[in-house]
Amino acid sequence: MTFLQAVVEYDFLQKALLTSAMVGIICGVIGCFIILRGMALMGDAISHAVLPGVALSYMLGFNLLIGAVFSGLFTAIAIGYVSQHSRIKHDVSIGVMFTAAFALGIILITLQKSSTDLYHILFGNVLAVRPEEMWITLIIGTLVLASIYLFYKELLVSTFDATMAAAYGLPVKLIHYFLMTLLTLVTVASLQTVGIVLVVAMLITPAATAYLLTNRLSVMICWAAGLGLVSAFSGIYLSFTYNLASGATIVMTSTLLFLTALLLSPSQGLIWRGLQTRRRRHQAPSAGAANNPDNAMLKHEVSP
Amino acid sequence: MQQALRVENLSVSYAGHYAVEDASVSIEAGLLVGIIGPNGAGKSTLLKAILELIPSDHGRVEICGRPLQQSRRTVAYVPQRSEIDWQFPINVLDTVVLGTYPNLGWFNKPGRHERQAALECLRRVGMQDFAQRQIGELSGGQQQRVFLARALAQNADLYLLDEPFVGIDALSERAIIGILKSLRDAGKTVLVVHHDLSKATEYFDRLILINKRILNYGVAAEVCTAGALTKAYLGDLPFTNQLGVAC
Repeated sequence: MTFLQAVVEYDFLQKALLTSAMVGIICGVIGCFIILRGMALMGDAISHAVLPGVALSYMLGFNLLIGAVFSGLFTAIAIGYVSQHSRIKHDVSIGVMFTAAFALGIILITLQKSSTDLYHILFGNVLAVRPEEMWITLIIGTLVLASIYLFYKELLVSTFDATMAAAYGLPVKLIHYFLMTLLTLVTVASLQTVGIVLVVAMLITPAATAYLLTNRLSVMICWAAGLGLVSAFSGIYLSFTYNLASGATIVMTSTLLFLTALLLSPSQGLIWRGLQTRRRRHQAPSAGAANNPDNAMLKHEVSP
Repeated sequence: MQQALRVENLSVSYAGHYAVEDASVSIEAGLLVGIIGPNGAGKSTLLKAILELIPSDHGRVEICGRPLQQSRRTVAYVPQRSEIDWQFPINVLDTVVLGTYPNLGWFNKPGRHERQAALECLRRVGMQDFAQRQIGELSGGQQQRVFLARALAQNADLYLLDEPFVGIDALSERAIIGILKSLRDAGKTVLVVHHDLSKATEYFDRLILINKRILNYGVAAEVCTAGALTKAYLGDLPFTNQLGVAC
């Protein structure tokens, strides 16, 4: 049976594709703002920090989203508070706070003695996604995309030049915590697909790949969404066909796309840049000779 | 004459040390004012405290007779070049369009009208041919002109520029000072943080001499006397004399 036949045949595969498509898109979109704000580590932290909230929601039987947003935001505020009110630097504060939240989450979940649940939350299993989880993902996705569309202008200016944004009266701190809220929502939406541990890869990698491919934010967002989507689809295909862990396969596919862009990007690619440098050296042989590592090596070989 | 900016007893401190101490100054509209003083004298801090970008210990700021909260949209701020991420995926035109945001308000998106206005501002600083370039591909002077164009697009009454002449070419410097003077001639008020004393009298109508405290505010040529400068640049005495000559 081919993959396409299986998709038509099996309900679970359709759900998996739909869910992971949405996750790929929203992670890519929100990831662009995360990496441009220099918050890759913060993305990792917040995604881990939803764990205690998720665990408590399971234990006490209230909605997963409320718990996750609460613990994610609480951690974000705690990180900000510690780095602003003590001599502890921001990255150190992140390291202390999110590991604490994560550890607390693990303790809470193991208290319930269901290790399968923990495994699924940490690493995801999109091929076993339940209908209500798919709907949660789709609703969150729509909400996140609508927010980004509505506040695009404010997100752009506060990301690019926060000082100017604050100078003309934008509430930049509020925008930061708004983005953190969206980030916790995206993490919850990604629980089933890639899981807490790997969601940061879906946030960062497609956005980083897109960053290598364009010089405009709007185009970068489209690229990141597209790359997230492609990684999700091909990851599920490979995962289904070769029976691999779905989350990890999606992430590896995404990494492969990143490496391709890193080598081949027309403006930023390593190969193209290397060629340009070499051409420049040829154009200015006198200046180039001193710096040329090939020449230096020749001299070294001759000298003994 | 109307007061464009009024600062009363403004103090800013970091970890118990004053960066700006008890600064009071009142600036009439339609002047081009330089803020000069030695390194670490609190020049940039003063600008940022005026805009409440950093918290101040106490003090009051009024812009055009109104408190800052009611007049933010009449102020354009140009940050130091070192504060900008020049690798950000944005081109020159879109950067200038950001200047139209304050007057757009929430939920409105910039359209053709805003892009036209931005292009016009680019023309004024002589950068219209670079509209589609990524900002990192420009020289320092060109980058500074683009940010001035963005401030022009804000259509403000008060312009605050932090070290606009650092690390830029002579051509850009002349272009920028020319535009600042034309803004002044149009009745706008312009404050420029400037660390190079040469040309200070040539560029500015008034000078604020600051070293934590505001030591002098007045007509540029008068502020530029060796006596006042010596006090500001305390400890740099030989250097000061040289600069006094250049002034």
